[in-house]
Amino acid sequence: MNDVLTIDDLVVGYGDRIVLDGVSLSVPAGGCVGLVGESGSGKSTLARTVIGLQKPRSGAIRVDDGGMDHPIQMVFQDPISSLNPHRSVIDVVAEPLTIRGEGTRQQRRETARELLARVGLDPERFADARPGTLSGGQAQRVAIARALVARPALLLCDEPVSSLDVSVQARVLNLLADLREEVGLSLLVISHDLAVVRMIADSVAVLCEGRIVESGDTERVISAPEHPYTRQLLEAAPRLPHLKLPHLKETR
Amino acid sequence: MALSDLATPGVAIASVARNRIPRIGVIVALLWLALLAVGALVAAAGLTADPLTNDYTVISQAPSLAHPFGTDNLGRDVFSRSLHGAGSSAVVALVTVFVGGGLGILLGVWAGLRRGIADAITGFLTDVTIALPSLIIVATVVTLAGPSLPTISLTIAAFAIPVFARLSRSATLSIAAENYVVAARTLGASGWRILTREVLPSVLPVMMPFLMTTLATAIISEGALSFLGFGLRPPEPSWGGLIAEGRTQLALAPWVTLLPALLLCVTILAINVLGEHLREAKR
Repeated sequence: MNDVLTIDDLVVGYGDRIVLDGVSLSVPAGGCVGLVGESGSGKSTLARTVIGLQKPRSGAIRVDDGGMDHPIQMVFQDPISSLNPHRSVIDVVAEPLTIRGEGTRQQRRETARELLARVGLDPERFADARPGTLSGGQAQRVAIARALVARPALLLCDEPVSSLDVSVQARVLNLLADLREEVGLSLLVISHDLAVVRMIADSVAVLCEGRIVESGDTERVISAPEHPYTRQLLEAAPRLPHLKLPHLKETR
Repeated sequence: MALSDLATPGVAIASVARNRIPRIGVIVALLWLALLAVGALVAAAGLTADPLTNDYTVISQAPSLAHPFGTDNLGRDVFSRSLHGAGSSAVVALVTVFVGGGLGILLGVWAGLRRGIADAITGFLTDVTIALPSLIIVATVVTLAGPSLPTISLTIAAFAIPVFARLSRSATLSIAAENYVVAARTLGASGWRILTREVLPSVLPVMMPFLMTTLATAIISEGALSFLGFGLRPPEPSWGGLIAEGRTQLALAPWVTLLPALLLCVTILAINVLGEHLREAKR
């Protein structure tokens, strides 16, 4: 299969400091790749570079955009702050269509309502709510709905659940896994938490001080880590929950 | 909102401060401004005594039913002149807030979002403009262009621009880093859309209390200019002008100065109470 995202020998630095030093990574269409590393390893810089907020020193980022102007959408660590506090949920979710000028206002709102329902939020109840009144999990669902409305080729999730309660984390991860199957979404999930990556990613890349030190099939990397840094990460992590979660049915 | 988040650690302080302006104070302030607006409109419609007509039968009379604020040394009705002056003050205040505040905020948000050279030039210009002796320049402009209400309003408004630009720029810097602005960028929103739809709605509430303060300072500036003789040309009433004219008769007819001055004070107080209320409500 084609790769949706190909990162080739990427070098990014701020001033004298090299933050990413020759990172290569690819995400296959419909695949889910996890990127793990401690804070300061360069994970967020990679995210910023991929969505174009940071210019690389050298290297290439190729996106199979499927004809879309903005093929990569991002899900942020702090979901509340990723939603404009002055707009209603329905307007936030419809925003990608509004920006592209697609459809009438009525059609855009209809699409947004469908997507709200798809991410497990009752449109009747949440359409007119302000982001400030949502819980973290609800806000992250709204952010995911907004990203989906844009029909991205790749969803870039930067610590998508690390600010959420543990019980909510699993539900949001399940939602992402379901969407991947149903919509054929490709995911790049950045996390400091191996358990998160293990639940959702087929393959994983371990980032240490700006370099990828190990990558491969998720189970292989976790059960038989080759690099000392990966072993260190595994030991530092609290005991990992076993294998993949059963897909809980959403009630909220 | 990042700015209001900064205020949250002081919860106890905030709840004490919230009670600093009692609700009744806000209501009285609103009623006062509404009353003044009605009065100014009634006066502008010509329903009160002519503010410019001299009546030598009632020179320097103390306040009475016929002349609630008394009369001046030309027998003009001070109450009517005060209401007409309120109209001039309102024009100056509103032009300053909408033109000066509006342009200043747009400029500041634009500079804060663009950064780089645009930001540096804007910053330099605002620094230079704020350093200029505004009173002298306003006085010069008014002298050269003639003391009309538009000239005075726009000149005072022009000096509000850099102050608003600087404040709204710093508010923008913190808001531009918020994820929802980043999200809008990744969605491909245009610069204008990000400015008006994403950033401005968060900057405006931050600027509201200062906009209210500016209403008050614009009125005071106009008063000071008139008092110094650079305001509306004499018989035309303005609050500063009334106070200046009455100064010479202070011993003989104190109401000519004191009552318009009281009107000015209470109005400024009312505006400040509302501004403070907005500042507290924001927490």
